[in-house]
Amino acid sequence: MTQLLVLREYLQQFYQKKSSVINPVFRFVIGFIVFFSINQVIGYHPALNHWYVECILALAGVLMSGEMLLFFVAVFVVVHIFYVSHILAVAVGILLAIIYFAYLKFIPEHAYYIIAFPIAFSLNIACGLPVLMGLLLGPVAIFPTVCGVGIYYLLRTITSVMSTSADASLNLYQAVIQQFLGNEEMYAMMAVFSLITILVYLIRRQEKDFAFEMAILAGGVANMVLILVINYIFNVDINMLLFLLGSIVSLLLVWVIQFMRIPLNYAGVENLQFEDDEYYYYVRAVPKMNIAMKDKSIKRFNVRNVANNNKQQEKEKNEEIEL
Amino acid sequence: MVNEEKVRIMTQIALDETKNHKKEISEGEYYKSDYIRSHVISAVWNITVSYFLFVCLAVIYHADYIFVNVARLHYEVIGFLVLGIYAFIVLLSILLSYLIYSKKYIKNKKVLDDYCSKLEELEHFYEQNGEEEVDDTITGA
Repeated sequence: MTQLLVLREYLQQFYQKKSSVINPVFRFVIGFIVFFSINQVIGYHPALNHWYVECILALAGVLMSGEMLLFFVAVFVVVHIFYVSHILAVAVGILLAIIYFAYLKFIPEHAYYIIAFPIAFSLNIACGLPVLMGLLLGPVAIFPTVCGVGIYYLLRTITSVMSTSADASLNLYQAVIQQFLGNEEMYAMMAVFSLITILVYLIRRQEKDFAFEMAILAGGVANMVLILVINYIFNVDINMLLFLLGSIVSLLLVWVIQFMRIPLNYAGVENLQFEDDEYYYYVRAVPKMNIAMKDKSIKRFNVRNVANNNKQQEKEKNEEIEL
Repeated sequence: MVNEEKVRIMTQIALDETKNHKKEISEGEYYKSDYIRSHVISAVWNITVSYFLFVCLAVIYHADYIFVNVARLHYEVIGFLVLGIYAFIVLLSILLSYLIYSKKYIKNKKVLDDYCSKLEELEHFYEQNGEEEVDDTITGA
């Protein structure tokens, strides 16, 4: 644990010193992952489905604000769909515009959570996302969860309908909407992820030692079990090894994020009781873990004396020679 | 000579203006009624656009049926239904946005009070030292 705390301190200091370099690099990596994931899911347009296009767009994303990048991501999705069906692209564009006007205009920061779902699904680390949102947001996380899962299943429905139908007319749009709205697996996934978010939120609010860690563990295990149950009910074939690996990695990532955010020292918990004119207070204070970095500095003692001695020895030698 | 306390306050003010409370400060010039009204109008506009787009999606989805039965559709019933639902959603959005932005205004006021107290503290520094008056552009606002 001490090593982790030292690493945390080191990373914080490193970030403070090099934030002007780290921020653009981080934005580039995130942008690249976003465009790469979209190309993996619906990379229909041959001109856009290349690693160098992803790099160029990610580089452009470094210069944009977060909201602008998200707008470009939406345009990127619509352009891909436009290549195979114009009317479907218009419909998806309208749907994204509805989400923007009816939801993201009021809570713009939720856009990042919504876009995280399709990306996490394509990278096989979606298991940890509702756990993370339960830690960071609370019950309000249900809204981005439902929207994010919905967008992922919409894109998946589009790819599945495209693979079976060569039609690009209005029928295609109707088929996509019918399949999308009739997708019971999607509703089950929305319900499970919302449930996990609430569960994590309720556990992490408990006045118990290691409440955050318990929330991550309980939420993660419950999520894995419920996803397996959904896959069993809807006869979804999954690679069990990949699923378990992805789930464990995502939960570890969540734990690392939590540790970097608030490391709590439960050994130093203090329970206080005091009163004022109106209330009697029961306070439980958990100190944050902090550790001083080892500051390595080499001090040389007797450097001057050694130099003086050498000089004196040379002088004596010279005197002897003169004599 | 650099006054550390003054620099600390100026840094906090600059952070508030450019990062932490940028939006709250920019909206700080509104009276409560104006603030709530402008946000309620904005909410109604957003909901109206969303609803219109949703209706467009529904029309595209049922386009085949509409083209075939264009003469036999009950336009009064459809119009009443569409406008009725719209009126209900708009009323709900007005109510919710009124409640949310009333609360938010009170929350913003606390932030602004804190920001103003920092400005007063800075002004106090200048008065004490007999220096020039506070320059509003000094923090990069």
